[in-house]
Parts: sequence; structure tokens; C-alpha cells
Amino acid sequence: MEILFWASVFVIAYVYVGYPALLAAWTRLASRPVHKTGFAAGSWPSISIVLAARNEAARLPGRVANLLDLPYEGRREIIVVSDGSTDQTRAALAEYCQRGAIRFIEVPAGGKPLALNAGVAAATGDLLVFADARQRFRDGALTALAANFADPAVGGATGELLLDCESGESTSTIGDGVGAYWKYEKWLRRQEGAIWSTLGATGAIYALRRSLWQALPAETLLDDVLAPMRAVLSGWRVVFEEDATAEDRTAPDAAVEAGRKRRTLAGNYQILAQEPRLLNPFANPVWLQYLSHKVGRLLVPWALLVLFATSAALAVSSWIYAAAFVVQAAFYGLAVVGAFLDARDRQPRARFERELPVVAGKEAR
Amino acid sequence: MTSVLKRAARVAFTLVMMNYSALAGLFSLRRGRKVWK
Repeated sequence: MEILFWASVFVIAYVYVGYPALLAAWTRLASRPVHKTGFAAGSWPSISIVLAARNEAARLPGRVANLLDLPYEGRREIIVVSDGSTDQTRAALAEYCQRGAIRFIEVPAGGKPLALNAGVAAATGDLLVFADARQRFRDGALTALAANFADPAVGGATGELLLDCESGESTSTIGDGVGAYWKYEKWLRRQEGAIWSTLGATGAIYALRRSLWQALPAETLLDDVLAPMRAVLSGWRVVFEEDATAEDRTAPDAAVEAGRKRRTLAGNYQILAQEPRLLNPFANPVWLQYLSHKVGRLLVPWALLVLFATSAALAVSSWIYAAAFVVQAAFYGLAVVGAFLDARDRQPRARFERELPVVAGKEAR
Repeated sequence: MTSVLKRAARVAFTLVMMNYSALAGLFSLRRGRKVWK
């Protein structure tokens, strides 16, 4: 019982404190800068922006306008793939199609991975840039992403997703927690990218050499982890580019965010079956980081359960276990109050959806 | 309730919700439930 207690303490402490401390020291001692020497005028790589969407007629015209307005010196094409949309997506984009501003592909509803496969199959650019319907790229995003590819070791570059809760502008009931978590998560990604490679990308804004793309299995949950990690497993580097930013809004309440997290964490389990090489230290150049960050996150919930149960069972035997139990009870008590506040302040979902319909396919992050 | 306490409560709830979503995600995957779209 005591071994279980201390093992769970170790797992939680390592994932949330030890690993970040290790990363901080590692980047200080051995960070590897990206050689962004830039491209000469006229030699910027061509890019294909691939956007898969389902029933996003209301958002797509604005999104396409955003992508067309972004400054970029090289050639760009925009490929919008409609994944079995049943709304007015085709009509909404008709003007852009007529003037040749975008290429529009319709595929039967098969999920985001297959829609991305169709979009990439039609792409001709040197680089693929992936985007979702809901977010907006800030000026300079394309140039900042592409500049990384001047470094021949770089196979992919992920941009930074800025959530409104990070600047305190969100009305989300869970904005405080999500904002703190997301800043922490991006800090980890920044350090991992500085050492060698991030462990995936942000689906809302990332770029990959087209030559590195491998068709995604239809059931893939985390296309934005599987595609970049396949590049990493092939020896390429995926870097974090904080000058390439996309803006998004925070989930309105815990129920929506829980759905996202459920997908993401289910995807983290799934990807271990899709790419077992991730667990092989001889095949995965970022094995330690993957184990500490991604696998660690899968272990922590189990460790939390074990910690609570063992400290409750051991509380009578020592003040250390009793104190551990009291601290956890207080924390969970606080969480119950937070759940009450979330339920009290939750906006009617219909109102939120009018303001921010949920993006087709997988959410960003 | 003070705003600091409310904020701490919201953060605690979010952390608990996020962590236990990992368990829910595993069970969703095992049951073959659609976890997206």
C-alpha cells in the first residue's frame, strides 16, 4: 500500500514538476536553434492550405477571406474539402470557386482524416498548411511557418493557438483553468521544440513538408499528432513557431471541454496502437519526452485515484498520509464548488452556438 | 465567497475534469463509441 502511495506521488510529481524542470534545464544546456536563414525573394516554398470542414457554410467565406488576405511571398493555393456537408457550403464558396481563389473538393462524409487525405492528394505545394474553419490566422502566420523550412532538418512547424481566456477576455465558465493549462502546455511544447521536436502539432495551424505526408487511417482521432510524429519518427524535426498564431475561443463550459479532452486522450491511447514505435527508445528520437509528456498524462488520472485511495487507507497509520488525504479532500472539495459555479454560470448552449458553432471534425488543440 | 476562492475552485474543477476525461476517453475508445464528430 505504501509503495503504491509513493509510486503515485512520484508519477504525478514527475509529470507536472519533474519533467518541466528537466525540460528547463535541458533547453538551457542543449537547445538547438532553428536555422531560419530565410528564403531569397522568389524562392519561398509554395504552400497548399488544406481546410477540411463539414457544414461550415456560415464560417467558410470569412475564413477563406482571412487565408487569402494573409501576406505571403510564395505561391499559395487554398483547398477546401467538404466532408459530406449537407448545408450550403458549396453555394457559400461559389464566388471564390468561380474566380479561382480556392479549389473546392466534395467527398462523402467519412471523417476528417479522409477529408484531409483528399485535400493533400490534390495539393501541389512544397508545404502543406493545415487550418480549421473556426480560427483566424494573424498576419505573418504563413511567412513565420514557412521560414522554418529553410532549415533542412525541419519537417514540420506548428503555430501557436491563442485562446481568448489567456488574456482574460473569455466568458467561459472554465476560462481560468483552461487558460492556465494551455499556457503551461504551450510552454512545454516550446521547450520540446527547442531541444529537438514537439510531440505533435496544433491542428488549427501547422505546416508539414508535403513529401512527408502519409495517408491517415480513417479512424484516426489525432491527425495533428500522427502526421507530425510520423515525420519525427523518420528523423525530421517539428518545431514550435510562436510568431505563427491562430486565434480561437475557449469552450463555453466544462461539458464542451470535457468532450474535447475525451477525444484528445482517447486519441493518445489510440496513437500508441497506430504507431507502437513511439514507445521504442531506439526508434523514437523524442522517446523520453513522449513518455514523460504524453504517456505521463495518461498515467496521472490513474495515479490520482490510487493516491486518494491509498492515502485514505493509510491515514490512520501516519500523519504524512493523513495530511496527504486532507490536502486531496480539500482539493476535491474545491473542485465540487467549481462544478457548482460552472453549472450556475453556464450559458444556454443554443446562445453560444449562435455565436460560435462547433467546428466540423476534431476541435483544435 | 472571495474571488480568489472562486477562481481556485474553478481551476480545481477544470483540472479534475481534464484528468478524468482521460479515463472517459479510454472507456469510450474501448467501447468503440464515437468520440468525435
